[in-house]
Amino acid sequence: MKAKLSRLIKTNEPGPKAKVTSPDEVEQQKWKDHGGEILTFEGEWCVRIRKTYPLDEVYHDFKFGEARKMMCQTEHPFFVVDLEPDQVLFMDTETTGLRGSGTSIFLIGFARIQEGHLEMIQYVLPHPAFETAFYYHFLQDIGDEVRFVTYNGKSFDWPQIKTRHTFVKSRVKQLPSVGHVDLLHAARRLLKPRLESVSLKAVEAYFGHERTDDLPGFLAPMHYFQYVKERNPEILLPVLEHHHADCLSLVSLYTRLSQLVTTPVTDFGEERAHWLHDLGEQDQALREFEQLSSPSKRSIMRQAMILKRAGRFEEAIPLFESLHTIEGYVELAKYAKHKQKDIALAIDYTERAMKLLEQKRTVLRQTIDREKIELEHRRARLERKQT
Amino acid sequence: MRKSRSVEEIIKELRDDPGFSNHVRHWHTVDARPAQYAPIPKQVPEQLVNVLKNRGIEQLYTHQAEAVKQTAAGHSTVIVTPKASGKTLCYNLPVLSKMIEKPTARALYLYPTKALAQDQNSDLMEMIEALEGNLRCFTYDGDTSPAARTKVRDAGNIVITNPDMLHSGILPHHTKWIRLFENLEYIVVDELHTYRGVFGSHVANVFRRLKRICAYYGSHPKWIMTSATIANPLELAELLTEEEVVLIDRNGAPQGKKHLVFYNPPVVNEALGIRRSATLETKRIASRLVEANIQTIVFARSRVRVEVLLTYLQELTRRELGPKSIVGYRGGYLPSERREIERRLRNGEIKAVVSTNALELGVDIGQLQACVLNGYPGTVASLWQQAGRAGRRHSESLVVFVASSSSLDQLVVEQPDMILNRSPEAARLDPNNLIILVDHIKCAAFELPFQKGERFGTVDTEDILEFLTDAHVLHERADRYYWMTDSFPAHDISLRTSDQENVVIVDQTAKHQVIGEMDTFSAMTLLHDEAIYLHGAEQYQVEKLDFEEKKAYVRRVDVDYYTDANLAVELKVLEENKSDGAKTFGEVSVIAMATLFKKIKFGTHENIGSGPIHLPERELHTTATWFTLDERFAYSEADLEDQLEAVSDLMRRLAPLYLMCDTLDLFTTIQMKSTHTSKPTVYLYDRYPGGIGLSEALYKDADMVLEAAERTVSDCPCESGCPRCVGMIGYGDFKQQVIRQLQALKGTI
Repeated sequence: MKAKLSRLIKTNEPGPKAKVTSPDEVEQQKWKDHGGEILTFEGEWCVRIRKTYPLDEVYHDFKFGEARKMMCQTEHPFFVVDLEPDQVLFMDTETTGLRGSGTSIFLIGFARIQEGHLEMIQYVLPHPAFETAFYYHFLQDIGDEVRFVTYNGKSFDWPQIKTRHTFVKSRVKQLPSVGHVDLLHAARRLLKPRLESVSLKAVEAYFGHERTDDLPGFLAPMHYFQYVKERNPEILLPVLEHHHADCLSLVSLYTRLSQLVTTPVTDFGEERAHWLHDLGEQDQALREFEQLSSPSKRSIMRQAMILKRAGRFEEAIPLFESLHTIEGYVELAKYAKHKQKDIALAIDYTERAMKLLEQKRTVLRQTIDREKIELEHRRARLERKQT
Repeated sequence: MRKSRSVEEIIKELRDDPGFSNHVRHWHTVDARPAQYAPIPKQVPEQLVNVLKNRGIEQLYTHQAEAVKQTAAGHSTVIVTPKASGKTLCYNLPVLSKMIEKPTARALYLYPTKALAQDQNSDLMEMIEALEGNLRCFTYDGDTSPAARTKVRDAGNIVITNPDMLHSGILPHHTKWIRLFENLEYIVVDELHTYRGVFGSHVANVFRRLKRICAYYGSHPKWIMTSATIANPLELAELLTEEEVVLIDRNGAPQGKKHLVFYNPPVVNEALGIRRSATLETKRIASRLVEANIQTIVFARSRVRVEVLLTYLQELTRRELGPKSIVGYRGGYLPSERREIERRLRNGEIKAVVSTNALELGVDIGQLQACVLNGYPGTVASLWQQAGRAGRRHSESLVVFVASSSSLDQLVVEQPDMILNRSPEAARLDPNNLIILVDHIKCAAFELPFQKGERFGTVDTEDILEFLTDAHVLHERADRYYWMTDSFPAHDISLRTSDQENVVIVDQTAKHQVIGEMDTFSAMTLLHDEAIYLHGAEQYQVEKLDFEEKKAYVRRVDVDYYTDANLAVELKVLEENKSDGAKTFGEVSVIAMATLFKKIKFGTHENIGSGPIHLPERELHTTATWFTLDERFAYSEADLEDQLEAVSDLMRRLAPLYLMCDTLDLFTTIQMKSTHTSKPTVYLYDRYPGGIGLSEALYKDADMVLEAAERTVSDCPCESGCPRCVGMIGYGDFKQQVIRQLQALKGTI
């Protein structure tokens, strides 16, 4: 019948075009429809999605432009960046697993502040087979020297990038020289006592920005695997959105946290002071300690120790005296012995410390025993000196 | 005051003492052998020759020299050496020589356990120090701190580790180890004979992955392996590494005359056939040696037995001051304690040590004068390893094997020639066990994508890769297979088992402590409620088997019976692989359900009680070898059934002697009229899913096992058959019937 029809009836309509569309082309078109740009390299391809925001746009309470101001101004050693603001990348990745050489990165993105706007770029790996194109373009775009602002990027994202770069290093640029401002570390220093978890999500929520319909991070790999199988970018859109939000959030969080440590008075005075102390910034730390309205004993002790080391005993001694702690009495005993040359007083302080130790309740028997032995030694030495 | 005597004197004394010699079933001597030396080969650089000379080594034993030459010629080698023959030089010399010549070279040292890897370091370290170069040697295991890890990866010329760490800590993170893999020249594998069974099958696959990663980074390392005496070291080495290997087994180290005494404790109750306790006899003999000031090692089968013997023996030194001269040694001691014991053993401060098999492997404690074995250690190779602890280069040594009342011990002590007159067991493994293979192909795919047509070792991967693709574990594109799940496969795969669902055995005697694991199939018959579980030489009773949670709770007991579970087995032959008529090897499906258990009294084998078992049925796909009996040799159906039982029982008891496996690794079942052959058939199958080469080896060595079975029956003094020979009380000419069946299977009638 079919044969007969075609033999007998001539149609005027044009026949179907002999155009064959490859699955790659179909997929690429879909990406383009979602605002993606197709980048090719040695027969491979990847997707770049670029978006810009004005610098006065407010995101999570801060204008993007404020981040640049902080970068240029801050004196806090943790937040200082030693490169131009446009070499600072607020970077995050999405990966197929948590560890191992076989875990690959399928999405890298960063926000960076350019002249007049904030640029947000995401690179998508359309298939594990295309890693060369993926890293080629990412590395080409970021230049030879960058500073990353990340959330746990120092011990996760960057090592993972290094791992996967190993597989393609013969064909792409070498990795740039980098530095890190890992905001996870800052969040831990400032918020740990107040929060159970210091995940990015929890920290955002703490500052009043709860994510509502966000994709849980652990589902990202499933979405990716599904996408690779079906070659449908829509499956990946929730992951892209989540990741996009993460990068932008880093910009505001950088501004927020660096402000927290530099604005004269905040609720975080104690944490700031201790952090500076641990970073070795004694002068800055001392200023912070002095400003605390109701300092903890730990703060007073540290403040006094800085003063003592600076030779400012007149200021340190009253602080040690106000403490009524073992450590405080030990310091007073040392002062009495070496500076005041008053052995009896030194013994008196040592004994006060020993009395406190006896009252101390703790499960750590061993620590107590050790402290006790130390104090007894101290007293014995003093007594020998006395006679 | 005790009187010191020489080994020669005490040997004479024992020979002349009827209280001892009357219970000796066999006194075997091995003649002394002089050393055979060879000059240090020219391939060893002068620097290293000087280090050797400073340590008093002017020439090498022949096997050491040959190891250096063969390795230098680019061959992979396996060196078979007894204890104290200087095996570490066999690999340290070639490795250090290479590193002097090429400072970027790297080597990987693998020891079967973490403890051994840590033990081996000191000798090598001393040589490295004496070389005064920049060579660095590190141990990498679970205890290595994160800070040190980076240093090991980047700067370790020699990295010492174990297969488990290689599997889950190094290979999956190979990109962090580029320098090692790019420059890897040698892989040293010590104690090769321990890589057998399930563990060996896993390790063979870890080695395939290792070679694949090396090839990716452009290196093709050579292997230097050492093994204790087993029947098939070359075969094992080649099976594990899939490389051509040169065997070096002419030992050049000297050896003094050796006495090997098989001692069977006297019967104290004729009627019940009960013998004097092997532990007490061990204590008596060991005390005698210690009192004569003979440096002695006592091997016991469990930690608890070690402690018991130790308590007994330390009585001898009650009045001593300072550190004890009689000590225990077992897993669970701290590394520093162990180092101290080893040092004091070497310099002679310790007179006697009581040990588990922890001291069977490579630890250097020097050579002792006498060794007492409390029970058969399970394999001939192990027996020789333990016996090898005694034996100095230039004086006589004494080894006393004290048999317990277990049937295997009795077999060994009554027929020691079965052990003496043949080579030790062959180590068996099956790298292509499908379950194990697929596990490692997953790990390998995670490490590097597979290319279509790529082989994994010698295995064709196409079907497995397709299977994994269908299971959405891999994704294929442009002929490459990519890892497509967010899991970390090496984490879920343990090298020490083939079954992912093991039952964990929890001892509740003191505190909850995990004392072992067992695959679920075996757990049905060995860990059911009320079962008596033997761990080492200790008895435990199972209080509760939680099959859902895969936990068995046990408590230590001391009872005079063991349990034997009835397994209702439905066995189907899936495929015949090879056959010679009477015996066949192939693949089978076993559906088994434990139904009830019997309590059997030791010695008399009386049935003293029973109980039901309530567990679901399990299916096992594995390999089997089956034997068909001739029904013409039976007067009746009942006779035939008994014959089947007897042959099955004999095979199961004797096969472990030849296959280097545990009595529990092979299961048997009988069919009066086989669904496959329509004949009366005895099946022996591997208890591990997929099989690990035991039944296949049994097929190959069947004649030896049948021969041993025949001798066990014919040499037994009983008239018509007893539990010790045919496994039951026989009647009439039953023994002859069984012998006839065994001969028919061998094809001798």
